[in-house]
Amino acid sequence: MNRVLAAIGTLLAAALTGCGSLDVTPEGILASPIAVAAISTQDRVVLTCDHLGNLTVNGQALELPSVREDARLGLRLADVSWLPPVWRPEHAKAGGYLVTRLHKASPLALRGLRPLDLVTTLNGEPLGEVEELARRLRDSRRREVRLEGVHPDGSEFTISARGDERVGASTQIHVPFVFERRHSSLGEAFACGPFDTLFHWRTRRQHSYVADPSQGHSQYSEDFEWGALTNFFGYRRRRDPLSGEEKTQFTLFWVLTFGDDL
Amino acid sequence: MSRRQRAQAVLLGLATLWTTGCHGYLLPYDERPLPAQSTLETQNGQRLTIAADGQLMSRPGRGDLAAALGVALYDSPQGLFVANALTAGSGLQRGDRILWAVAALPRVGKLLEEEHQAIVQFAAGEGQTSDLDNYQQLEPSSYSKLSFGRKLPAEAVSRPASVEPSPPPTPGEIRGLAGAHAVAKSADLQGYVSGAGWLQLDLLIERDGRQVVVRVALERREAWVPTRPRLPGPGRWRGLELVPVRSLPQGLRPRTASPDEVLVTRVARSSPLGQAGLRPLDLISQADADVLLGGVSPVFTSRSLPIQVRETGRVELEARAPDGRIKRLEFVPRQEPTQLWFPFAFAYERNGDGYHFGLGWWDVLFHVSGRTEYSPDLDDYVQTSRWSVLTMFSGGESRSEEGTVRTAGLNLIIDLVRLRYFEEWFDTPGKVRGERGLEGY
Repeated sequence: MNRVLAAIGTLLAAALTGCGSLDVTPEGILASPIAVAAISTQDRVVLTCDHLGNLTVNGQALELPSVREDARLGLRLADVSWLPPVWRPEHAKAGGYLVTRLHKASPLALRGLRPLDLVTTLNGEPLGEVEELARRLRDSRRREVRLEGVHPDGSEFTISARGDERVGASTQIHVPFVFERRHSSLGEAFACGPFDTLFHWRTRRQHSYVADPSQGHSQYSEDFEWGALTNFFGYRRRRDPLSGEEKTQFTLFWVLTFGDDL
Repeated sequence: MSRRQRAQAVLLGLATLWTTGCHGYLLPYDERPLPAQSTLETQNGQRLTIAADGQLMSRPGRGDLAAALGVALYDSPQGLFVANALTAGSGLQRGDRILWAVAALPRVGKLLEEEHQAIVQFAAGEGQTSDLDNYQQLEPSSYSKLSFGRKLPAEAVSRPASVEPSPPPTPGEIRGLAGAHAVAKSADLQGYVSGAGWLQLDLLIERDGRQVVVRVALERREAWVPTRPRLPGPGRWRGLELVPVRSLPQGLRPRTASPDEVLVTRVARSSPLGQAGLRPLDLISQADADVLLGGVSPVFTSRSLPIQVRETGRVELEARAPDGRIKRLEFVPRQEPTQLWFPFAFAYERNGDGYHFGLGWWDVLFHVSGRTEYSPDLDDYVQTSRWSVLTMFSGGESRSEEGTVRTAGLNLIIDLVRLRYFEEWFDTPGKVRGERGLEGY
């Protein structure tokens, strides 16, 4: 009986090794914040984006000229010059292109671009018509892209990023009891031993929601961690990619922590 | 052995044979049309587009307000006037002068804001993304699609009793409404055309010396364009419908096309040409169209063709996208599906979309399979493949425009490849029936 239980336990441990404990999967797109275009005591006109990258007004999709570069920048833009002026949010009154869809692993999102940001220039030049912009975005793959524009709160931004890697790419290899290796556009991880108990190491850019409209309700952190012997010894470091602020924490005997709160 | 036991043995044997390679793992050829990636401007200023069922349609030019309202408009120093009502029931009459306008939107803005705030507060309070990774759970944009996670607070999922717009305002009220504005020229209303198909406008107009408010709908006025496809028989097999530009009415010919070119009006999802990048509303040369449809062999054509047939059977083709971009496409023409199997030994299956090869009963010794499927979300093809050896060593790959997802490993207990394999096997008939009707299977 004991041998049966031991065998079942061992097999369970084997099955659970490498089953997602060190996730770095780059899935999904950033949830859109909302922008209010017209305010009255009666009601408001609310602009937001749907999951396909359409701009919507009070929940109804609009048909606007749009441009997409889904592969490396994970970006879709819509030309709001075709919107009635009364529906344009304050920061887009003069027209331009609004970000209507952004992949979570987009290098531009990691640098602070958010849905409903207004983009005014690409590599220092005005964006131009839809066809021209689409061609320029296609040509910019694997090169540095510099976007200038305005956040919905009125603050201006300049964001530079390179689309070196495809936003949805990932690799996962695992052998039970032995090791697990993951790599994606958001980070990479390595672990060895059943349940990753001997050693694990991971670096990733982590997205989370925040109650801060100025950040588009989204923020990223660059996390690095390693641990040994089921985290008997452990280390974690969290860095804000925009401000550069860094926090570190050591763990000893599982429960004793030193350094910053994380 | 009793008769009953013999019958059971025969049934068991038949079941075993049936499960060894003689099932259709691959999805059948998908004839549904690909959508066009953009519209194509015509000589008379309209745009050609492709309907969901693959029909060629014409629609007014971008921002054509008069067409959306179903009237003819003219600008004058005195304001914007209706020159003529072109459709019955447009609500506007000849001589009407448009003074003010406001969009008749359902009054759900405040509710949407509150809903969004509740969701964001919840997501931020959790500090995690795992339960809310599905984007649609944070998207309060469409009431028909509202479907929230199990942990969201009740106030985040409150829905309005009605999403109908409020009744039209009176002439005295309209100027005080949020978003109402004066109209002096047609450009003041042009932006509303982006909501054609669902949007209604409340217009304050001057008619016969009186001011009245008229609610008008902005219609997406599409008209079917009858076409005469070239060689529809071979075209159907190749998943193509090609229409000579010359056969279209003069005004509806693409502005940038010569009469000798051919317009692609339909590309089936499973067509190799679709997978190579050909899309509806692309333009190709007449000679290429002849070769594609099998009317003329490239060997006997006298001119130098962009299309080339290689020794390997691969074909190269040049097409022009609606934005003027030249696309060089390379593909292998559609071939008859192949299915070979021998009980307990092997199974081999191949069609235009995928392949599958397995060794042993239930492919336990080895299996490799792959398929190409169109993803409407990405508007691109996703290529997936899987393999396994002795059911334990397994891996897979999913390749799309967004990147390649690869997995590989050793599974001692959970045979993930086979689980998915059987899941698909059981789901396929239902999926195909649901998407394509009984004829599609």
